[in-house]
Amino acid sequence: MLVAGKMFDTMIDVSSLSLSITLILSGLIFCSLLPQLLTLVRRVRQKDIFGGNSLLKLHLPNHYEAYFLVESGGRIIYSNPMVKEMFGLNGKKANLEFLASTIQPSESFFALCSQEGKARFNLGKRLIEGKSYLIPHDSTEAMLVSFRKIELRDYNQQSPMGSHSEKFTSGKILDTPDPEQVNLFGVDLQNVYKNNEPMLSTRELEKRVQQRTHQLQMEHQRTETLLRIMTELSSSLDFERILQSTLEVINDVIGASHATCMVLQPGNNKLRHLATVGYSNPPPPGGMPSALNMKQGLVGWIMSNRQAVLIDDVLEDERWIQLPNTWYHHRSAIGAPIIIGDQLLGVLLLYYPEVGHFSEEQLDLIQAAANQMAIAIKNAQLFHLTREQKDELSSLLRDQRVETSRSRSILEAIADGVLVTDQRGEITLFNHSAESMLELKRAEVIGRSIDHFSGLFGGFASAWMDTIKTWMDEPISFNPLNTFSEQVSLDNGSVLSVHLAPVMNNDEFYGTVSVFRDISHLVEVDRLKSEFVATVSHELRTPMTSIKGYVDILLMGVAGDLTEQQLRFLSVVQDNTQRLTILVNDLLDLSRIEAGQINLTLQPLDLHDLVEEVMGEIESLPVTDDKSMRLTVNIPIDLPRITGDPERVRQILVNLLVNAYNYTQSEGQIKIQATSVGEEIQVDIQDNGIGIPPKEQNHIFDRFYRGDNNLVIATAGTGLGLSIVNKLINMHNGRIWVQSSGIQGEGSIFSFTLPIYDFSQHALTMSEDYAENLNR
Amino acid sequence: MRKILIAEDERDILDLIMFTLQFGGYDVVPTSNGVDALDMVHKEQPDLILLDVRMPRMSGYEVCKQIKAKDDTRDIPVVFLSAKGQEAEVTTGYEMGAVDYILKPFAPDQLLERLDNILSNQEV
Repeated sequence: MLVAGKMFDTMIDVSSLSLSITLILSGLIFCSLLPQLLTLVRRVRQKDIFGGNSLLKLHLPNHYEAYFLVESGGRIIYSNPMVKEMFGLNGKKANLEFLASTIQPSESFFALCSQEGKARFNLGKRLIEGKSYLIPHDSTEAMLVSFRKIELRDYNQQSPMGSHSEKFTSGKILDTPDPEQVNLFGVDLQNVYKNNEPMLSTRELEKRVQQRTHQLQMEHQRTETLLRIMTELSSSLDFERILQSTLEVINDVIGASHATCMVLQPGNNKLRHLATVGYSNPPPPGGMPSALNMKQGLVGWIMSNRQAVLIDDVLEDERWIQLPNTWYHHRSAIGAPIIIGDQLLGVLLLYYPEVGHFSEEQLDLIQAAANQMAIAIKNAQLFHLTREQKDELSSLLRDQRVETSRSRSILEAIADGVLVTDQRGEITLFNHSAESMLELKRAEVIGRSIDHFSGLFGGFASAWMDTIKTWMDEPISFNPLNTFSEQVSLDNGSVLSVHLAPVMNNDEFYGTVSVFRDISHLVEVDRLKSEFVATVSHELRTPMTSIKGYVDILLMGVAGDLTEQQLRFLSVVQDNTQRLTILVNDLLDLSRIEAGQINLTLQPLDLHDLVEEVMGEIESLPVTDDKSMRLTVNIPIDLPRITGDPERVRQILVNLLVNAYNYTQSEGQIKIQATSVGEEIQVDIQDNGIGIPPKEQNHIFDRFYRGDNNLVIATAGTGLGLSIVNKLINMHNGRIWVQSSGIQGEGSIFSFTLPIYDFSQHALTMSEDYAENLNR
Repeated sequence: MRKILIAEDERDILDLIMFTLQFGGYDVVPTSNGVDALDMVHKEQPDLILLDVRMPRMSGYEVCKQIKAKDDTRDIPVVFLSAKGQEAEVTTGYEMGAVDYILKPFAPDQLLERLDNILSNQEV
């Protein structure tokens, strides 16, 4: 490709006739040019044709070329007008001696005229290059000698002055002509001389050859150029560099002095010069903004008409906007829109400082080049877009990965055990703490179904595993607020506090997460606390036994008569001893309930009987004041039996009734009523006492809480009663609550529920329990 | 006169019980630990035995167990009088063969009443 390109360059840029002839003779490119040359040689004597040189001019731009034909005797038989101009003949006829006198070194000049070769000369201040070629002529030969000016640029690039007699054969560009072709040429030339016939009919032929040659040349130029452009455009992904080198190729091929490729910026529709040729500096990366917008000037016209344009003289064209302060002076212009599909991407424009430089034929080439550039630009933009999206995606992915690994690290690092299952029940996360608490290696657990672990942690853990399975099997069945929160005792003796929750996202079940903590030491602490309380209670009871016993005996009068005052004082001691006893009993009760040391013996209970017993118990309590109280019981005769531990339900009723009694003034009323509500029995104990202010209602079930009321303070109480009641009711799966306005005399209603005994569920054990209950 | 053997390590409480029972018309045999109590049971053959649970040298449970293991003392009713009031403790007391389990602190008149009841039931 490169070699072809070079040859191509030669065709259009190097304007030496001999060079062209050589190329033609060598048959490398255009065989069709051979007849043209034959014609040319035939007309050597018809100087008007040479002088008119319309044929040659087409291929050899006249500003570039001077040539003459010299016979072997040294007589110049033809010279073109450029010879006069170049050598400053001032109307004189060209002869070798004079020409030799104007250039240096003249020996080389003579050599060039007598044998084929190539040499450089100084002509005044100029540097010129001469080439000669031998053409057979009669019995002798004629030498065609041509000259061209060498631009500084060329000079610098080519070999230095010394090699002025180098042979044509040495260059890559010019090959040795085929001797046969040369002979044919010579024969032809001789024939011309001999016959000396005017060949009028050849004029037409010449014209057609000329057209055809030109067409072919253009076609070739076009193909070659496009091939080069495509090669350039596809050679690399560095888009702006490609565009620059492509533009250089186009500029080169078209023979322009300046070229620019302006591209619309995606997004803001501003034009930027992405590549330029011939201007002082190449555009910086990212291009240079255009002084014109996409609607102005020649650029604007091309963009809005979407059409290639050729302008012989921009100064005569109304579309041209001459920018101020420019050092270059464009005259000819040729340009095309860069379009792909119906998307306008930019404009390709080339200039030349002389009028009429570009030809119509080049318009097609420019448009084709612009189309290629459009593809490249579009590709680059797509590539850019893709890369941006890729970067964005990868950074998103990276962020997400960082976030995920961070979350995972946190889960791994926390001291609580974490166990995560997916929607199929497979364990996906099992952190370090979980490993040590459950005494299982992560590797044995990850990826396995929770089914494998049902029995592994002991019976108590099965509720935990079962809950995971239930949720997994029926993700719809649970309320997202559902959680599992229990203490689980493992076979190894440790106790875990497990919190299990479903992982939900918009009603979609992702799995479950269990967070658990080893609370063995807490349980141990709790146990020690209970033990301590039990011990302390026991130790308190011993001295209290003495106090109470001796005071009772004194009060009984067994140890002798007492005065009124002594009796009263001893009564105070007795009351407070009683109070202390209750406190110790309550404390012990509470600590045992909290430690889970109380096991309920659940059985069907008749609330009627129970209330009756309790009433009797209350009536038998020592009455220290002479308060009268009316007690109403309203329990339907067909009320279902409740499920409860008789001792504990009795304790609940006693506590609530004693409270009602204590916190109601004389002549009060206490009502007990029971109703069946759903699967529960609700018991309401209403009094018309002092009531409980709403702000205190939240605290009355707290340990040691006592209301801020004179009557409360005056009453012997521990502040533990309701706390115990609350816990006992919870143990029965019931609830307790209070309603009170807090206004004196309106009293309060304490309500609690206990489950109705389900005979079908307890059918097997019922008879035994019931029988036992009856036996007591 | 009916004879009641008492085992109680707290001196004050032993005196209180003695006073109460004597006031109630009983002959009292006081001991202050389980081993002595077991000795005295064989020697004295009381009508009722009142045992504290927590005592030096031998617990009340053990004393009761041994009394119930011997033919000559098996039929003597045993009553526990203890500050240990937890269900399990009370249950253990009954399991050892006691007829009653009275919690400390106790009311002297109620103690007398319960022991009277036991002894009168015994007669029937």
